[in-house]
Amino acid sequence: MAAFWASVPIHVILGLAACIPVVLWDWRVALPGILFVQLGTSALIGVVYGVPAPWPAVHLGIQALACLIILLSILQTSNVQVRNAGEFSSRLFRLLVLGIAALLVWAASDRVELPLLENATKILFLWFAAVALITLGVTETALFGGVGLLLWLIPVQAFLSVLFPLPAVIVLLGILQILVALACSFLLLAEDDALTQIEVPSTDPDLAPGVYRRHSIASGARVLGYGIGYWMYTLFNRRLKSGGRNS
Amino acid sequence: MIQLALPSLLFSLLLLAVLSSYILRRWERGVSLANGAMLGLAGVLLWHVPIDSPRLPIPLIPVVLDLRAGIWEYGFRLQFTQTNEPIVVIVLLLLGSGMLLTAAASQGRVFPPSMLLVGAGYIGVALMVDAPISPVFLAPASLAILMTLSVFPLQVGIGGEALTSLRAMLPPILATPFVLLAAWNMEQLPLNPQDIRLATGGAQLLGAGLLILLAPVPLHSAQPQLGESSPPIAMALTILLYQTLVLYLYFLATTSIPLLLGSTALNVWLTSTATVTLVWGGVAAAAASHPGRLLGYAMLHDWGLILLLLAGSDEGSLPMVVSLFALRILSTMSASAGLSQIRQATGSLDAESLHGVGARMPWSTAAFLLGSLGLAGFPLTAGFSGHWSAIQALAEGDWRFAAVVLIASGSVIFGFVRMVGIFFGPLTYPRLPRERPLGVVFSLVAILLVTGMAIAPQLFEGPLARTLLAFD
Repeated sequence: MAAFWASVPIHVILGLAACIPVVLWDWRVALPGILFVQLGTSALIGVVYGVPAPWPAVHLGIQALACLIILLSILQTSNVQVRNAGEFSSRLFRLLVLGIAALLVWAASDRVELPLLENATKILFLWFAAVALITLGVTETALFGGVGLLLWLIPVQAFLSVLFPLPAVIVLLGILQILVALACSFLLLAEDDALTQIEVPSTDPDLAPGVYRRHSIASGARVLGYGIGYWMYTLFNRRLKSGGRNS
Repeated sequence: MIQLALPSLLFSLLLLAVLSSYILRRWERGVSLANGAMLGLAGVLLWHVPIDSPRLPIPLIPVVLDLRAGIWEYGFRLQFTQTNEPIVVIVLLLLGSGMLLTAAASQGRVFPPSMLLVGAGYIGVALMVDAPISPVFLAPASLAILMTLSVFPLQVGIGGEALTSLRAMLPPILATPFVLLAAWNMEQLPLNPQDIRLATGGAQLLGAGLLILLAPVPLHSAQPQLGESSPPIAMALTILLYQTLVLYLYFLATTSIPLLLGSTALNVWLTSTATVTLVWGGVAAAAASHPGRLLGYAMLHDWGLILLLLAGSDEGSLPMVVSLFALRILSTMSASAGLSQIRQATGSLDAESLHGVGARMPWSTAAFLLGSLGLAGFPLTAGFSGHWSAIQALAEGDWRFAAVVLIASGSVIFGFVRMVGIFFGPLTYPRLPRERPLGVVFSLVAILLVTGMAIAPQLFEGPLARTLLAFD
């Protein structure tokens, strides 16, 4: 089992999964992509580096919670731009930047020392960090800012769990991860002009005349229930529309 | 009689302030005034009561306060010591003054509780004297958590540009792995005392982490952007609280790990990035037409000067760094007090809506201008004495640095001269309301403090000497 997770193909798959959100720049790919990368990384540090049993699962659980928090905000935004736009560059440009980053990571990996990690894992974690920095560099929205930060925290959390398998460090970084997701989901709603004009913050007891709460607790539960279905629907719908345009 | 440790009392007070300001948020003004007075009083009392004094009975309740007692939970020990005393007092005074100013110019109803929560976190980080990993190495992760929480008071009540708040939390999040990796290197040192690479590697990683935490150019962007897009008091408190703790962390790290300055290029990096920071702050300020952004660039310029002195790292530069930073706090709070009043009256800080505001709101405008000009070291403002000493010290080493600082400061002042032209130009909105009495009182206090420090800077010598004693 350890040999499987330590193998180069697994590392390559995880590395490719990390850069797919940057290439496609779509939240429907980015959030599952982050979860997939977290799943692989948790398995890697649990099986290969012997991080004690509850912690890899805790990492995965926290990441799932973080993605869910961001998903709820995405589904609440009415502004399509918030969800999909904000890309600073063309796909070709981002591919080019990723290529340059890959070369830099490859060249720098000999000089960078990450103790207790094997060479392949070291390169993988450096790659995650590079992809996260590229995401943070080219984004113009809180959504992909959040994606970049969560991607940055995956190797940080995993590597530090190997170095310091102490509950205090793991819990502190877990708290940071959840707060990053909460902050980004809050910013996602804040940058949606249409929503901030219509919606009254839930902490404000005064509702202006003619203003009503669009999203109650019931609608929140509905959003949660239909989340995955909505994701599939919009992905499918977008494919159909773009296919129609191309033909 | 119940015996209470000081950290417990402080957290109880802050919890009370958070809960009261949230539950009673409809009466924001009264609650903010009460909380501000309570926190300010706590800060002043802590400063005046000697830390080694015997147990103090608290009037009216059967509680005895033990200043030196700590609390120990989950491997973290929080204790009030001589070293962290100035930091705790500064955080309390900042929070207190912020709450008082909020009473005059609302920053959003949820701002007071969220800012107080963040402030409680900063006090916790300052009080941390023991942790599963040395507090110096764990502090960046805690700062990252606090800056992430700061997004809420920064963004509350405003929509639109949200990426700015996100940028503010980047430096501590990026610095965390560097510093924790340095901690691992340092922990391995007793096991392999012959391995010199562990020590130098650890020092270099810690140096890189500290450099990122100090956020010079190119990590500076949050400072001017927050000035433009966030409520002025929220911006000032967020930046000042963070920088107070980062400077404290820097002093702790350089004191406890001498290798940090001896075997790394931290000073070289700090000198070059600090120079670029103060120059960029000056150049950009000359072109800024938004008063919030202009204040942000003036703060950036001042921060660059502080970092430049920090890079000097000799014994003579420490008093200047502490003095400049204290004057920075005074100037920034004065500027934000005035700017928040103007923002409240005009509803916006766009240049078009500010024409002639100086004639209608003279006290707020004066507080803003005097505070902001202090950040550029303008004569007869609080920052003048600090800037003058800094320029003299820099000129003794290399006159070119002093010249660069002078030119950049002149550039910031030019930006404010343009702003004066806008403020005292023809009035755009004749129906602009006049200043409120409470706003006038706070603006007057700010003006008195700023000009008082300019006329009699020796007033500051006592607190400065005590702060330096704490850091030694």
